[in-house]
Amino acid sequence: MDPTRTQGMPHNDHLLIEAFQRGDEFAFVALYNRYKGPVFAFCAKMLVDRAMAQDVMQETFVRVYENRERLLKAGSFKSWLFTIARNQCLNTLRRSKRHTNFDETVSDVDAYDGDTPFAQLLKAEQIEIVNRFLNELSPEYREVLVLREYQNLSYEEIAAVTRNSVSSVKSRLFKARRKLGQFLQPFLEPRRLSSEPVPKPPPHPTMGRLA
Amino acid sequence: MTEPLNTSTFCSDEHSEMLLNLYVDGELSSDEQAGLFGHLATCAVCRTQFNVLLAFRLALRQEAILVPLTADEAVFARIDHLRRTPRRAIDRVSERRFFGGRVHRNVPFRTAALAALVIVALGLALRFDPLPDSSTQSYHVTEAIMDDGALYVIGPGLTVEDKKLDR
Repeated sequence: MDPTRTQGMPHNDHLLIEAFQRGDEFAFVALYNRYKGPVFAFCAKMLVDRAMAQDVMQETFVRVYENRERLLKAGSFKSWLFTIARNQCLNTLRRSKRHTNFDETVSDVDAYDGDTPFAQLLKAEQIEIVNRFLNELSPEYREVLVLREYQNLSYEEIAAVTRNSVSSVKSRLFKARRKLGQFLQPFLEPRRLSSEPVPKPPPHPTMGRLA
Repeated sequence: MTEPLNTSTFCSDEHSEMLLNLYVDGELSSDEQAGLFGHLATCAVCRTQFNVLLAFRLALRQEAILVPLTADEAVFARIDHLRRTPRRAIDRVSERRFFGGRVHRNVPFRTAALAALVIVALGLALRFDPLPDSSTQSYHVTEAIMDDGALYVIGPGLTVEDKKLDR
């Protein structure tokens, strides 16, 4: 199977799924190419570990391939795909019994040509703060925040992925953002005079978790 | 104009805070937006929270989460392997271990056979008597002569007075 040979494939998910179910393997490749990025990003943020995210992404697409007969029954391919990825992520977190093994490797900064090294350093620091916050957040809050903020899923789509009601999604998002406010506020406050006490940054992930 | 400094972490007006969430998600109608902006003008806590949400959004867009180059190869190698192996029905239940993984040993055949025998013996011992077939059910009729006429007792469970019989 050549992952690059997807020229001339339809743009509609439904048509691709139908073609895939008829045995057209390139339709699967087209679906994979379309969704590998979002699925990997979702897993990377859920697990806060890129190596584990790669394994989970691989497992997710293998399951999609295995269960292709069930695809048409699922209303939205995207929701169905993220449901599989989400379940895999939760299983991985449960199995490893870890929430705090924060991947401290340097993230890829979306650098522009004009960025100075100093600007890149600032960006990297911001990314690290965000990742540290996500790592401290419990998975039930993390998943709604990641699906909303990184994947731009609607409330209805998040509800379908997490098997919850829309009101529950809104409520969890609300609480997750409150925790975000508590966490980020010290970083956003202006520097105080040296005589005043400097706000203590939140504790390191290994010392405790939000929620 | 100086505004009262609100030092609490959360806004006391939870409804407005919820509107703020809906606004950043693009789910707030234009009618409700006016109310939210009015609240933001007077509430420092919500303004800070708004800034936090915007800063978070900006920060997460700084990161390029690129799929590793080795990922494609690994996925398609697994799928190729899947295609080569004969397809079997996926039975996720049987893949799980008994009792949530607490029992790790396989049960020996002799123990399994003995357990099956015990279950069969118990089943035979506790079996219910089958209901008699209605087509072959027999009735007992007993005639009793009373002062006011004969009384027929037809077993099981039916008593007929002679006077009421249509003769």
